[in-house]
Amino acid sequence: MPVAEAMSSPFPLDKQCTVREAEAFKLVLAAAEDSSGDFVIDGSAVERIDTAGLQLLLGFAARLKLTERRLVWQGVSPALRQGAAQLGLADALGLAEAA
Amino acid sequence: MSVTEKTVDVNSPRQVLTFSLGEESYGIDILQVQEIRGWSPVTHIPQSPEHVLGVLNLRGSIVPIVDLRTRFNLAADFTPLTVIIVISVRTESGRKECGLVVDSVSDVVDLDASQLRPAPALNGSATAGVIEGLATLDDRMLNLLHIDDLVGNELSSRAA
Amino acid sequence: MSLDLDQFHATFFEESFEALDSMEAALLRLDVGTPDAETINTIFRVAHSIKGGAGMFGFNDIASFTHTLETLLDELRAGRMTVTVQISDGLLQSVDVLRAMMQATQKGQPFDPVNANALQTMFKDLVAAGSAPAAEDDLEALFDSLSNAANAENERKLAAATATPRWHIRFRALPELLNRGNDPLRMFEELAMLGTLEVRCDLSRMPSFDEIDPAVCYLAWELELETGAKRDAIDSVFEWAEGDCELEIRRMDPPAPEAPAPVPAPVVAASPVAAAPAPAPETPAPAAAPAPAAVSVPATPAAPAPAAPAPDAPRAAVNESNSIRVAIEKIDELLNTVGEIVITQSMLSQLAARFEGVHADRLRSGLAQLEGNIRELQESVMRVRMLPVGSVFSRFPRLVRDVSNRLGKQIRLQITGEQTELDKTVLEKIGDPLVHLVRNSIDHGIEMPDARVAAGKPAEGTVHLNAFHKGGAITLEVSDDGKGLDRTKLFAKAVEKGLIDPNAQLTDDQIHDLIFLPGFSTAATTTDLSGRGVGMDVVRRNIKELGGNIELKTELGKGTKFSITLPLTLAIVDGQSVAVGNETYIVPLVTIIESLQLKPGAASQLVGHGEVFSFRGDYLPVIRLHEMFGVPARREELHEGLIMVVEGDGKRAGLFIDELLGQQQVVIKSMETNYARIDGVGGATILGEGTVALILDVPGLIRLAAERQVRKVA
Repeated sequence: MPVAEAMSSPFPLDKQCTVREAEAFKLVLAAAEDSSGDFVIDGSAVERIDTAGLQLLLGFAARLKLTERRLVWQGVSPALRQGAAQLGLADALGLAEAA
Repeated sequence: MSVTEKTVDVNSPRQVLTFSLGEESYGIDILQVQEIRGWSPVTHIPQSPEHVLGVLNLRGSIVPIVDLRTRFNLAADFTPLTVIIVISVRTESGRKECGLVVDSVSDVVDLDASQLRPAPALNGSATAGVIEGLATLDDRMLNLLHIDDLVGNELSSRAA
Repeated sequence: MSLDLDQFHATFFEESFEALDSMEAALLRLDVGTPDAETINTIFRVAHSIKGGAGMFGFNDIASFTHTLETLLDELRAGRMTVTVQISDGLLQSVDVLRAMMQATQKGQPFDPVNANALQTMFKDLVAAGSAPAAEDDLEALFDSLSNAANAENERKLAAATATPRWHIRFRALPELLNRGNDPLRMFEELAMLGTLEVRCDLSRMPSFDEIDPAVCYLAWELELETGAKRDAIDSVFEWAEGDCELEIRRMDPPAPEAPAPVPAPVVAASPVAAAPAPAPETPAPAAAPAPAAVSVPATPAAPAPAAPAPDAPRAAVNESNSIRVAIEKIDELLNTVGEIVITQSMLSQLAARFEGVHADRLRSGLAQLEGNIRELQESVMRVRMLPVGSVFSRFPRLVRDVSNRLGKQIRLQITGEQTELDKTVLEKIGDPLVHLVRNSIDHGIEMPDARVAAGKPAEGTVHLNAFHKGGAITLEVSDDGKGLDRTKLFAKAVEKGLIDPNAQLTDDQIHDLIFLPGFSTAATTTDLSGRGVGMDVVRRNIKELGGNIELKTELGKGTKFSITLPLTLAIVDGQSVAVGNETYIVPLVTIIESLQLKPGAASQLVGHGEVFSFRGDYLPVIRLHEMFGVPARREELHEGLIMVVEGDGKRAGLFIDELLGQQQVVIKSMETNYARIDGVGGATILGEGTVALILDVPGLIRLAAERQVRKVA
């Protein structure tokens, strides 16, 4: 992972972010983090997401906050938006202001 | 899809059962050893590889018996000291028991991770791919066997 | 923690198929003229339950279809619609459709929705049209239904006028929640379908990212739901999560009505994914033990909503018997262990026979007692695997009704002995042969009503299914009072097909046996019902493979009876030990025809078949077992040993063996537990002396030998 000032390209979310993929998802998220600015994430491809997937994103966002970084959304699919809203996590994930 | 259950904690010593085949010393992880038995005649299984001698009744289970000498391309040789090490192997289709015919067993030793060196890659050798590593004990060289690889394939696939 | 939804899928399918069976039985019981409320309720509960499970697993087609069913059934049970013949038939067809959908989903195959869509459309139209009775021209019923509809409308308006109740819900996930296939997101989506939902998440127990276990939910929520739905609708959303969450549902005082409250959305809402998980039968997947975690669902004063009777415990399974579900592997393990005990005990007895003295006598008598105890234990454990044959018989009322209707015959099905028990595996495999026999009776046995009357019989024919235990085996009978088999016709047909010699002298029984010959059919034309490729020969073969036998008795003009005898269990086989070289093999007794000794020169070589010998007018191949199995031979010449004529899969062969040893009952142990499947070998057993003997798989052996011959010629 290149250690640049800003992320070269947004981190894409898979179309399935459910409990089945959760273990792998966690590993991938952990590996994706680099020490540059805000973490840009692209959620436009998400078709199915559930509590496990959203929880991991939540945990990840919380970790970013520890280093004063934000989770920035570039692309939010309807499934992702609805799921987050339904669990009351829209604010915590920074989706409220996302386009 | 192989899942190794044992967590390799690099720092704690492993206990290894040592045995000999011909001139060489070998070892296997004691956690996989179920028991050691004397030799008894086996029931032949049709269409089996040469080193699978047959099956034995082991407290009610039908257990295949593998002659390690034959498996490692040594001539078969049965002496009064010949024993069978019964091991439990993890395969794709679950846990299986298997008996290994060896010349004799020696002692159980503690093996520290630091004592283990990687095995040289000798392709084509009968022991290729099944040696986990080499260790030096006193003045003998011990070949640590990776049992799952050694017999796992033979036990889980159809007989040849 | 790893997650495997497949085991929950398996349970869902298993339970759903069972539920469909009870739905079908209920539908058959339903009297269209005076429908029983409890029966309709049963059917409703089944649809509701399947819908819930299907929705949870995302089987949207099934969920949508059962949702439509549920809507219709709700109308029926509330009395807003009446049961008509059209509806009853449609519901029966729905059972078939659902079965097909589940099977397709289970196998991951696509499903042709033509029938499902047609039924769904019909049901939706019926519901929309209200209770307009299609066939009945009953004015009174019409007026009743109209006034019911009006009442329902009034109720709805009344409910809308009063302020909508608000509920406060606290939900905290416990560690196993996600692992058991639950998902708070989906549960909240369901709640949202009941009304307006506000959600606040409590993140306080989230660990650091690295410490997160992906399969554990650390979150808790406070929810407020504004809905006119009843309390049990809210409860049922969380039903599947019981034990894996902390749950508190409290009704809040309704706020002062400001804007007209939205009409509370009844469950007849649009989305097919809206699935309220249903009354689930007792236990979850066999491997999962119910978590002992606390669930607090404080009882609040029941909502004073219009006539909402407190629901009976939604957990009550339809069948309230005192039983538990056990995975069949556990029983097989138990049987295995018991089998080993039998062997050990026999080893001990053999040893004890060699000792002398007072102690030896007491030892021997103790062991004899042990042997008795063990035999009892063995029988008890074998019984655990046994299930009443009624479960197989239960599919026949529907079959008989459908087929006899289609053929224009009047047939009554009589079932007796349905409590007789049979090993589960045998039970599963006996179904198809039974179906074939019953269809035969209906198709070829029972005559058309006028033909029967002309023969002085009642217009209605009877097919009788019976089962009973006799002499350590179980007997199943399929009998009818139809026209019986005509010996002359049978004989002529067999001659015509070249199956027997026209001059052959056969006893009556032998003539009747002809129908079991491959390629035989006595019908002038084969109807699509029973003539298609499946013959009585297949039926007999299937039964033989189960270690059983089939016979028939028939009387022209009076009827036919087929008797099937089956062993009580599959794990034990009666075997003949034979010696081949230094090895002992077991040949299952049911496969043995005869053992004989050939004269020198009796066998000859036949191109493409190898060594053959003559037996009852046929040439049978010789199978040299020592060659097949790589065992050094003790005898080389055929006439020095024995030929054991065996039969498997309709083919015969002669096994060349050295000598016959004893006969005994042996416990079958699988080679695959520790090794692998071996061609020609059907398992292994441990003999009294403690050595292992392989059990021959006769059909496989014959096939193997034939293949080897082909390879030799090639």
